[in-house]
Amino acid sequence: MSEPTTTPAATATAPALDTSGLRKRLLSPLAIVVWLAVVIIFPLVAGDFYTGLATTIGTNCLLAIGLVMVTGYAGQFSLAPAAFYAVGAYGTALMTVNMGVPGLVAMLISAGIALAIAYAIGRPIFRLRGHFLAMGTLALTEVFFLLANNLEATGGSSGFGGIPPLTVVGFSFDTLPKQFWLAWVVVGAALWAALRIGKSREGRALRALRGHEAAAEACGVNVPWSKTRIFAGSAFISSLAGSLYAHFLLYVNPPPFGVETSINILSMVVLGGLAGPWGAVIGATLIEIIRQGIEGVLPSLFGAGSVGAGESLVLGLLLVFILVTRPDGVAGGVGALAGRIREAREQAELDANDAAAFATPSMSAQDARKYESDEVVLRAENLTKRFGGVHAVDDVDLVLYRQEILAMIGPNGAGKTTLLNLLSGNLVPTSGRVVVGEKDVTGRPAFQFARHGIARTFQTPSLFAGMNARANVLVGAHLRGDVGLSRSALPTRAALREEQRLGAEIDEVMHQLGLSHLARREATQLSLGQQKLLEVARAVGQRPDILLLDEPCAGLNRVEKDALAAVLRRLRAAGMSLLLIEHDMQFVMNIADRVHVLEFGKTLHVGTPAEVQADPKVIDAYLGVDRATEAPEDEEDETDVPA
Amino acid sequence: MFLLEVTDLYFRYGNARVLEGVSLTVDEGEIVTIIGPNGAGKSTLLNVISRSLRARSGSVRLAGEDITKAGQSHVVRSGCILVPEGRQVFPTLTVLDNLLLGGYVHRGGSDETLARVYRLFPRLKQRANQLAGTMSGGEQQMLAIGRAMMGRPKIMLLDEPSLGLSPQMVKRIFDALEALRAEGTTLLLVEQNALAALGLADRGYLLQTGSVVTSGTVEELSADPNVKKVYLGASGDEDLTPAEASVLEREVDAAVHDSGS
Amino acid sequence: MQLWLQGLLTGLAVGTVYGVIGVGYVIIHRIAGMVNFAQGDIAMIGAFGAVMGGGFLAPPLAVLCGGLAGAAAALLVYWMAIHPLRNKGALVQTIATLGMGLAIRSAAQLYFGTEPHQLPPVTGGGPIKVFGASLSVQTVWLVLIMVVLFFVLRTYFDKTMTGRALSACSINRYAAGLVGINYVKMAMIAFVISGLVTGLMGGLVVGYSFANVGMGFTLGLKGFVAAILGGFDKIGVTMVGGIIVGVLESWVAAGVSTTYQDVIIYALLIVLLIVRPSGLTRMQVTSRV
Repeated sequence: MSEPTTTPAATATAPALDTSGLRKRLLSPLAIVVWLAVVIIFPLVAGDFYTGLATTIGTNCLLAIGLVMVTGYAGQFSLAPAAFYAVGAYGTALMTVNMGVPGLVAMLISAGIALAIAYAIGRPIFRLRGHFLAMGTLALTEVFFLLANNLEATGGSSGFGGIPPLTVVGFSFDTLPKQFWLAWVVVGAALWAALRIGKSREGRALRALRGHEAAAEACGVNVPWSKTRIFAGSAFISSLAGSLYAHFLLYVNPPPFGVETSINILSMVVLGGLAGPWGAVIGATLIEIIRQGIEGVLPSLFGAGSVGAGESLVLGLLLVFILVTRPDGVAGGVGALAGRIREAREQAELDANDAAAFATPSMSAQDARKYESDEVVLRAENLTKRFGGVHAVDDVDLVLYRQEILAMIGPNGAGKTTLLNLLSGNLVPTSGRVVVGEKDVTGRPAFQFARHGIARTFQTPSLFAGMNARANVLVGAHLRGDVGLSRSALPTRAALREEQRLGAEIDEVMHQLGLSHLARREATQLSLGQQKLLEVARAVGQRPDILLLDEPCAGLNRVEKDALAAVLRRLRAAGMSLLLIEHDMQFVMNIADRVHVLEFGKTLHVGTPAEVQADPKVIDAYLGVDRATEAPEDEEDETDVPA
Repeated sequence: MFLLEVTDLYFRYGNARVLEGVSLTVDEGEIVTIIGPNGAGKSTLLNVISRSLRARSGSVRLAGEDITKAGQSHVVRSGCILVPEGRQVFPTLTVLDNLLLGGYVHRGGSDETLARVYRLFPRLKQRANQLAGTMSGGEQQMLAIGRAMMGRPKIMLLDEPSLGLSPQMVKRIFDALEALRAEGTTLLLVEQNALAALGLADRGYLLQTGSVVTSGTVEELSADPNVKKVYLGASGDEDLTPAEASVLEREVDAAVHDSGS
Repeated sequence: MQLWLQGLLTGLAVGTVYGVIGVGYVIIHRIAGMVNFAQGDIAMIGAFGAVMGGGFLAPPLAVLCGGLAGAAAALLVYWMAIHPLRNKGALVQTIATLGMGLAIRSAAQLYFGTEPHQLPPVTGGGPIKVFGASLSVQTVWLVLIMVVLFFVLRTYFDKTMTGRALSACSINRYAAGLVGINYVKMAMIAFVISGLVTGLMGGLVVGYSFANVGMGFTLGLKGFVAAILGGFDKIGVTMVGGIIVGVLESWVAAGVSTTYQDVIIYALLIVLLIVRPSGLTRMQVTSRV
């Protein structure tokens, strides 16, 4: 089993990518220094009013960053920020005042509690019916609000005072500028962590599942678990915001923790832009400016009593207006522009370096040779799938041997794709078993099939929207990394090294498939043929034992098909077993070791290409039977009909 | 004037060009078939004609009236009705409800039309109160055609009615289509089962990567070497093995002969 | 014993309101596949519609005014938040309805102020004695109206052409288009019906309680619990679910504490989402397809 050799074109691209990496390495410490400088200087020049205002914006920023991680990254609609905000604030208040726990410890314990609550609620909801999360979290927020408002321990509606300022190793954050510094340093850290997560393995998985849940599962992403973790991470940040709030005001009462706050934060995030944490910072700032503007204007128009309702009215309408006109928000607009410029520049570099597309590998003797192994890697036994009265797959037995290419053919509607979905775990069979190696995996979720070494492509291109081609393929390598949420938020050496390793691996895969020059292009904007190839790359990036391909040739021209055939042979030589559905008979007859013919959901014939080609039954099935070839006269329906 | 006249139709899906200047005509009382390999744009073409999809440019005229930009319900009311790929019946409604919905643009359709449907597909009458989703694929196809009949179409567009059906069932469905034509309904038929389609049709068009490659009568198409290659599902740039060619020729001759008789 | 019975009878009134508002959610969810967060505020608009109508109309007609106001508000939500976003997916639409709810609530506050408003019951007459517990005439009206609504809605959805078309749209929008059903028209009809029944309930609430601009929140959330119990699909089960919520709530109020009645109901919602998200009739729903 030989590793494919690196070709000259690949070495040519390497330096170009390295310089951009160097730029990035210099850029990020620079950004941190600038951030710290601005944060230190601001309260010294801005005066008390603006410093106070900016501190409020800071705590809101934290809540908004938390929400961006849930709603922006993972596409889940949560109204929980206020609930976890309350957990942080009241947790800090109760622990510091009643138990004398040091502020920092109380802050971390509260955040831990928030995390646990989020986990306990998120895990079952995301597994069952994620789209009701919004109502569940709305109820959660209201429950915490009512408890705070009614419990004796929390001081009821009159609140709870006497909270000491936060003191860390003797340094007390007791003045406005110090509080500002604290708030915005924490915001900076959260922003940095959120940005890191966005670029990391975990962030990719989240954006992937938002883009295409089934494809993300096929890449081995445990969808409910990923959603739960980001929800819990967001709860942690919201709780920190609450603790800071308590230490700044030294007093907590229920009103700031109602549902209105969650809606407020949502407005910030929508206005600023859901795509990334910068949107949260921009949104929190803009909303505060708008609020100040309203408070300046409304009383003179409608009287002082109108301020609260007037603000809400404007916010509500703004929310709808932004969603209708600019759903990616202010940062989305700016970011899209900046991103386009950057990606275009990187793309230009790639174009210059890698003009030679699809380096057709010459077929070595090793690639061409057939591997006659009798080791079964994938077995389907009596597999049946019914949709209502339709038997899509009817009692099919199928085996896939190690290092073979098995082609599945049959007329449209014969049940090929359904069978593939059963083998990849995307559908659960009505009856029968799927065995991978020695392991019965029937009924398990799709991501576990991926963990057993099965990768697949889809019939209609199922790439992740909003991600570039390289990021799409990187999701394929998901299972070969193990850096989770927390380690990517605080990038350790190991995390960075892993990212580099996976990057290098998938760059190699993309090069082999002649896709390197498209790395920075938005995946869903590519041509059909390129999208299909990219999906193959994503699946190969999983380094599976078993590769299932659903019509990989659709949209490819003859040259590309030949190149794909060469790649598939090479994968076989490297130890993979392949099952492919394909309509291009020439391709099939060329590449397949065996052919499995399906008709009306049943196995019609299994054999070598030559045998299948010679079988008149198969020719009839595949070419279409003329209706003149007689059928038994008015025989009752062949399919069984439920009474 | 043609009953249906499609001129220079373009359609894109994202960056993929699906239709690139398709023109075709269908005369009243004809059965016209569109054949071509997977991904040629056949389904898209029918969906654009029936206004499920909006054309990028080009025009569709139904009995002289330009319906390219008309609303979908107007197109249905004017008598251009699609029987979609995969049947798409309403699985949780009864067979009767499905049929009545077919006549939605005529406030449920008349008893007379319903009787016609039942005459053509007695099976549907037996199962009138059964949920559509519990029926077999062939019965669902009958229902899909029956549902379209309820809209009293001048021209019925059929997208792969033989999909996933056994030969016996395909025969039954195609017999029904012939009966429909005898009653005066014009048919535009997309089929992968090209032999069966050519056996039924008067004329045909060969569609490949979004444009019409060849068109003509069934006899002309059968003689066209391009069409034979399409039968094989190959991409049309390689030659058939002698064995394949002989099988095909036999099949095509039989199909043509049958349609002539 | 009498305490429980009284709780049951009191809970019946609010329960029918929750149940029918839950039906309002279900009707919209069926066709648009999303949860309308402005539903509670539509009920509030219904209440104020009734209050305004009550200024010059007899109470039964005033309640009808509430229904019309609710329908108008729902239509507004559709045109501002759903229709422009119809190609954008449920997440964005749902957030937009939240914004619309906030806007409607604030606009109402600017116009009506925060103080409570009242309206006489649909008909006069003292409470009826049932085994020592008292049953108000308004409750009888509420239950009667709910039963009538059940039969009217069921007949409408199952037996009329438009009702079938609504079902068709929710089952398969593409196929509905193929038979000539105009989706936008159907969605508008669904929002109007949903707003109408929700507004009617808002109007009826004023007969035994009072109207204020914040009332939509609890009505909306508890109506949602009813909709969850109904599996977001079945009208009858949703109504029963609403009554369960109402009765439970008044038992908690009588037996445990009035302070924590809402906390317990909302906690119940969370538990419900976790353990039984497909409602009371899970078995039926899964085996039906």
